[in-house]
Amino acid sequence: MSKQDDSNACRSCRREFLYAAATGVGAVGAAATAIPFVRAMQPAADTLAASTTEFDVATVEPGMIKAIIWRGQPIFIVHRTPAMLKEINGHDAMLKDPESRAIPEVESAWMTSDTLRSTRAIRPEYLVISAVCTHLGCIPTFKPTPGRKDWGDAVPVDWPGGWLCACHGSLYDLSGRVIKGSPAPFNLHMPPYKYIHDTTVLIG
Amino acid sequence: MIKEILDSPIATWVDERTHAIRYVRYHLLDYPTPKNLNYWYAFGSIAIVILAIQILTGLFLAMSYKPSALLTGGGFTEAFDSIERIMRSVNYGWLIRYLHAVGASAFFFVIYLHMARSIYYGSYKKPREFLWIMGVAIFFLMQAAVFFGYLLPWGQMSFWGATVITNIFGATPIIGHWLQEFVRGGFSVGDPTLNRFYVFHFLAPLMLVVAVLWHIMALHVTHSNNPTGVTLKKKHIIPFHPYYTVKDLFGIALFFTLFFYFVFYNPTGYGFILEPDNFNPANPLKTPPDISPLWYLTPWYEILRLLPSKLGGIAILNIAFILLFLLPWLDRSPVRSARYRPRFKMMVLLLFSSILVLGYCGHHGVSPMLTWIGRGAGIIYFCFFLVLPFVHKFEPTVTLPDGEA
Ligand code: HEM
Ligand code: FES
Repeated sequence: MSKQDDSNACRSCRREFLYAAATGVGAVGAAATAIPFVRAMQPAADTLAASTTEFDVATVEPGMIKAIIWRGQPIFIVHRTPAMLKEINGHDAMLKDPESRAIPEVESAWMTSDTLRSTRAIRPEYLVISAVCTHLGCIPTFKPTPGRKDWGDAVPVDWPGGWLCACHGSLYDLSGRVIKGSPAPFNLHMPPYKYIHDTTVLIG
Repeated sequence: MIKEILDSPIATWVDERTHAIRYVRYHLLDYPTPKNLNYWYAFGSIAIVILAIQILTGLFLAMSYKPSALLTGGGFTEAFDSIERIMRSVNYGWLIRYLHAVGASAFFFVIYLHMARSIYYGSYKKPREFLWIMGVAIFFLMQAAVFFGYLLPWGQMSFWGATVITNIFGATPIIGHWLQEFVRGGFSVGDPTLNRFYVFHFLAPLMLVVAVLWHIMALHVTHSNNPTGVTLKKKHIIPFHPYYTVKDLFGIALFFTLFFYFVFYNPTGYGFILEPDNFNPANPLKTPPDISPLWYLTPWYEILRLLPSKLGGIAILNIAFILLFLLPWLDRSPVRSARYRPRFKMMVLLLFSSILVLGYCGHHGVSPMLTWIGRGAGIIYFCFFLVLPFVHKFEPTVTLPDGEA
């Protein structure tokens, strides 16, 4: 090969390198431009900030349920009677995740014993639980009494009492644990909460 | 009349400087069309008319609508109140809103018939693959448009429909949770969601216009198929104007008769056009007992709930849609029209019935019986695509009418 050809080839490989480098840097720059736009669509600072709610659980009568709002999402507070607490046990075989271990959202640091894992409440009589069906986010309907007596064939024959989500038929027991065969994959989520006074909880 | 206008000195002056007149001449007047197109071929023109109606009425609604979920003195929200104001106080607001709401249902009605026609006559096949793909893209853009639009009145169905669908995004593996908050702009559907959905609702029809233009560009390269599916000889080709301008206008007139019956006499369409629950303001603490979507989305909603698993339902819905895109490559028969493919004809009719049955099940709440009927229909839907690549081998030979090829 002549000397001239060599230097020509080199000039063109240099040019190709410069093209590639410029295009690469340009592409990275263009991609970086997307960051502020993507970030602008994520929850804003004030949406993230408003994140605790206080509630006096004693205002819920025994056997009754109340829905409150935390971070824009509903939370159920159930005052469980001794009879209802009894209904929680004895049907572990029907549950997808009886001990609430599947994902972090369904458990809490205070779930230190088997009893706490089945009652899913710091004080067993007051259940504080997310009201959002883990399937597609509807709010399930409370059907606390066992069997079909009060609900007809909307619930299975061996219904232990709990919630039925009308949207696609998910079932949960009285601790918000999902029953096998439901489209919902997980137990109702456990919001972070603690007692700050005798009967007042702080959620968040 | 049209000829005089297009030949006028002004038109000639414009054409010499822009070519605008020759575009009109080529695409609207002289455009070559088969002489045997039946009324199934009018739905394309009708769909364009509806798109125009949606954009026009949408712009006027936007002048009085307020995309805000903030509470008002009356205890509702600004969005909900602004719709009520359109209905009661804005001059002819009721008419504009009903045109828009009935228009959305009419759009899907017409597009479903248009798609059914394309499948039946094999119009998706070579060389019209791109035309078909743009069509499916238009169908998805329409679903996006109604999904975003349906949140705007901020009624119960608006709120819970958006909640359920954004939860579906949440089930995407790995990025699901991030994606869900990204779409909602918060932990739940709320004011930020309404604001952005309004913007997307505005944007979708503009993208639709671009997609429709591209659809028509593809059509005007490959030209219309026809009920025989055979490429016709030159002597069977006639100009678009006046033959199809007049035929399509007559089709549009028939369509308008039905359309305005609903607009003026039955704007809620027995709950199929405007759902009764959506006249209740959104309540984040209470899901309505039955949250099925509007009729035109129910077949797809039913596919979503066929499997008792969240991810499974979403996966098969995606497959159901991807199969639509792949149709031109799944069908390997050289014959286009179902008229000359008895086996394919049976399959197509089964496919259409399965979609109707899926829609029926999706419209009703869950019950064990409907779940099984829905599953049966779902299996038929998927079997269509599964059997399609092989069916031509078992097709009896039928003599095709005389064509060019
Ligand atoms: C492809 C075209 C379009 C379709 C299919 C469509 C569909 C819909 C649907 C289904 C609703 C809910 C109807 C209701 O509950 O009353 C809606 C509402 C709305 N749309 Fe559209 N739309 C389209 C184009 C547009 C355009 C171009 C605009 C304006 C820029 C617009 C502005 C609005 C407004 C302000 C509302 C809320 C008022 C209402 O609910 O009646 N739309 N749209
Ligand atoms: S949202 Fe509860 S079952 Fe689907």
